[in-house]
Amino acid sequence: MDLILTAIAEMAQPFRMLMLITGVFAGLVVGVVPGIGGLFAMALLIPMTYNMDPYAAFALLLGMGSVTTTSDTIPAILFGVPGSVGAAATVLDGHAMAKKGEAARAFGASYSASMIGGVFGALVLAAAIPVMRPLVLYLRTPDFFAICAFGLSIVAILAGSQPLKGLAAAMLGMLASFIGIDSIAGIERWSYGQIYLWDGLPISLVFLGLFGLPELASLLMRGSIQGSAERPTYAGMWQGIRDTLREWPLVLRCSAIGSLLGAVPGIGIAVLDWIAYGHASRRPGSGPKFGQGNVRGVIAPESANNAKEGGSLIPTIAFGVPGSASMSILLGAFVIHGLVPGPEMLGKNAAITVSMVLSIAVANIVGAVTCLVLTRPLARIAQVSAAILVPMVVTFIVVGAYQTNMSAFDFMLVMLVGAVGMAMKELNWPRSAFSLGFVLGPSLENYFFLAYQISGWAWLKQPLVLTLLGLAAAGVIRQTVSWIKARGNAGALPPALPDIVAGSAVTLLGLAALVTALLDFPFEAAIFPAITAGFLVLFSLLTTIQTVLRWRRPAPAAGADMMPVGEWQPSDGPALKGNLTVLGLCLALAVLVLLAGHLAATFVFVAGGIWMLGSRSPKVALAVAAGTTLFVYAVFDILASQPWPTPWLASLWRVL
Amino acid sequence: MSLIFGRLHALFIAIGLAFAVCPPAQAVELQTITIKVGYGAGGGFDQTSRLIARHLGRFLPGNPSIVVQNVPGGGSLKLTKMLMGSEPADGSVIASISEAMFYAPILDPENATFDPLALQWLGSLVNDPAYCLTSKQSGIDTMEKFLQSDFLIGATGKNSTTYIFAALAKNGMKARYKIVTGFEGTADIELAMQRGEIAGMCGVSSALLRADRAAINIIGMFGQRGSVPRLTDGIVDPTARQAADLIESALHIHHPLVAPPGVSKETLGVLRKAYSDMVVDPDFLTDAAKLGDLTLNPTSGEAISQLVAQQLKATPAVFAAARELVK
Repeated sequence: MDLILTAIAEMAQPFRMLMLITGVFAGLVVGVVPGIGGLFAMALLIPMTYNMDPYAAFALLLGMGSVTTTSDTIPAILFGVPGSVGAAATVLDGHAMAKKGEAARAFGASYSASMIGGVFGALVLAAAIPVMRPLVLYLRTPDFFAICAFGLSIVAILAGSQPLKGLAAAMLGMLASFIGIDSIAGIERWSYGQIYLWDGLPISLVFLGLFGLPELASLLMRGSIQGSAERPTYAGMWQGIRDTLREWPLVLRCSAIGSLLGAVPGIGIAVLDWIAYGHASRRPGSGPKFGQGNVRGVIAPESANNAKEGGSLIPTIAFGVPGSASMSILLGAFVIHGLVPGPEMLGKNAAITVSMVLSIAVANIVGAVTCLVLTRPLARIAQVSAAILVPMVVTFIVVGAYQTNMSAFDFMLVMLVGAVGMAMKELNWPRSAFSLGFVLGPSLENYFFLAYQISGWAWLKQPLVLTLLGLAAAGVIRQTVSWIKARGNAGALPPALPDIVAGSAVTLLGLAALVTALLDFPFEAAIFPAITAGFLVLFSLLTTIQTVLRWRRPAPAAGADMMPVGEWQPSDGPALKGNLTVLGLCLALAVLVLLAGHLAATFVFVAGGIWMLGSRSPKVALAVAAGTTLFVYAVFDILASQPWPTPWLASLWRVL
Repeated sequence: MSLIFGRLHALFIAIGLAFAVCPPAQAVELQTITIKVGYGAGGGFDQTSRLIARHLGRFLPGNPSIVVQNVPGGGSLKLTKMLMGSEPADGSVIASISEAMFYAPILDPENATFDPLALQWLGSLVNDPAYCLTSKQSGIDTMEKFLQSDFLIGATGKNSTTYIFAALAKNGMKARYKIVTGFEGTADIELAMQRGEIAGMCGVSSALLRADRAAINIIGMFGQRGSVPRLTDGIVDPTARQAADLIESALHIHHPLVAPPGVSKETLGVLRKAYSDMVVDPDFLTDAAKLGDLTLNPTSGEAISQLVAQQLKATPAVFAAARELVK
């Protein structure tokens, strides 16, 4: 008790509170802008803490790190563009709610769930303080493998109305995650000498392309985010908050998922938001189906990903083992402030540990309240014309993508993944399954080989491993049984011909991957990719055959009840045209950025894009362009100050 | 939709016009210097680079502002190759790469296709031996047991110091332990030692020894002789000895900064002088002391160039032996 009072007294000092609030506001901005994650922001903030005392330093850093997952839902709900990798699951139902004119309700639900989740995570951290070290020591390497395998089994729940496609998508995601230099044999896998690919496909780019770009085509078609002309009010927001309170058992369960799995290295927000989403989708409750604007699909991932911050501090404080990528950067701050992770943090420096708990809790509350206050103006964006929104959002996606590696490959990759995402969206290949496979692939492989090198096959007999693998198997079997039962009434299905083309292409890709893996890679590096590619071929071949059969034997005419189900939401109208327009816009901006630099490019592109997409007033176009350029400058040059490559035109200028 | 496509070509005309009038954006000026770091944000190389970025500018003419950019990939091999080709050679870009890059073309000729002598060293911060250590509970507490018993040593990637030094001791002295690769970092290896999953680790700096002295045995060291035996002293074959010496020599120039090959002699001189002035500056030292696990022991750029040139004079047989040692 004394400890808590000491910590409160220390934190109550004005400068420390100021740092906490500064951190929260920085974190909110970082979360909103797709492309810069909390990771990068934390690395930038650490040198600023050199001259602070540890309380102020951690208040700033944790304040920032805690709330990026609160504000990253703003672009996810409004535009379907996840502000960080942790908001991808929120896109599915949150964006669907915004389309129906329920943006304010989705915001209310997500912020309140974030707040409760975040405070819950802080409490878990507090409760773990006395038992932290034995807890972390109890988990062994094979257990981590089993946890990841259990996480992957969630794919079965996310697989949707055409389960074979879901499984194939997960395999495709895993396969994509193996690109780059492998950590066991140290050889190149499918990177063919391209240094860009050595570290694998950058996860932030993959998520931006997969979830961000495809939604923009639909937005373009519809004309605005929300169809109806109903004005958003605070009433919607309060309804969202009431939703969260009504669903309190779900909030607590998902917070527990977030905080406990957050403590496991290798399970980051990109995984646990899907696990929480999958968990919630088992019992959809009243209201629309999952994927069509069910508020539970917003509450679950949001409470989980905010609860994570507290959980991932557990191994960091107890052993200096980062529970997540941003924690490995936070460890740098420990060293700077003379703190040694381990017993000291629970003894001599326990007051600092408690202050971290307080920082996370207060940051989550301040962050959520700030977002709630901003809800009404934000929800109004749902009525703004797509002609204005699309160029702005494309700018943030493309410039955000470019600052990942500052390479032209960044553009190519985000557009390529975007195109894949568009095809998956139109043809009912669940992107959720792909992303789960993509994130878990490397952890599964790595933990498997560690466990195998340490104890051969004996680890398979460990009780926790058996329990977790058993649970995973049971989940998959249960789901398979329900698929078999539901066979034949899958609801509406995508057009057969393009689907056959896509299925065959994926099958061929899988075959090529299988052959190259077996021929080119040494055994240890080949086994996981080869097995994954084998399953990919199997699943995609089966689904292609299914589609061919369906095509040859026309089904009875689709009735009015043949609504698309689950995650599948094909665009209304000429989807191909819309998607090509979005990709064309990306390409135009990419070329502009390379030629003229990101600021001049932003101005020209936004002004030109708004005018081209049909806004009547040139004044509006120029004003929005100027505003966007200023914002890009503020975020990418001042907040995240970094050197940008010399644009081609400027280097030409110099030569002349 | 037709409106959209109708205006498409008009947009492209507008873009063309815009280029005609828009000024060249943000040319890199020499009032800014970029330190590119061959590793991700948050690690040791990133931290020392950000430390240097805070101070180096004060010692350069015109007091340029210095920014840090992370270019992770292949344990800084990616950045080293970029340095050889595409980076501007006017002194506006300098780089923080692994000291092991100077022999990367020898150990990994397939990937590291560059001339190691072309790198222009500015200086290094740390000159520190590396150690092999085991956990007390493993029971491996003497050099003899270390070489004769069957047990597991943990390492991160195949190109990391944790693997290279574990392999050097194993292959050089015909030890029987197995090396487990794939840990995320040294903290993960330590945790696995505490759980009893593995017995120890190699290639760790003295800072790690301070952390938990009571729970570990220090078996031996690399790079120099000291309170514990040097692990490569038992290598008898003279060629292998020389090869081991080549690998160990990198320990003297830990956390180096380099400039691209094309940088002129004058610019290089200015940068080297600024580096040497910085490492004795009291403000810099106060800041550096805050990076707890850093024992500052700088080496000048000239000295590094000499050391590297000396080591790279070895015969092809030595290089072949070095490749065998870290296999």
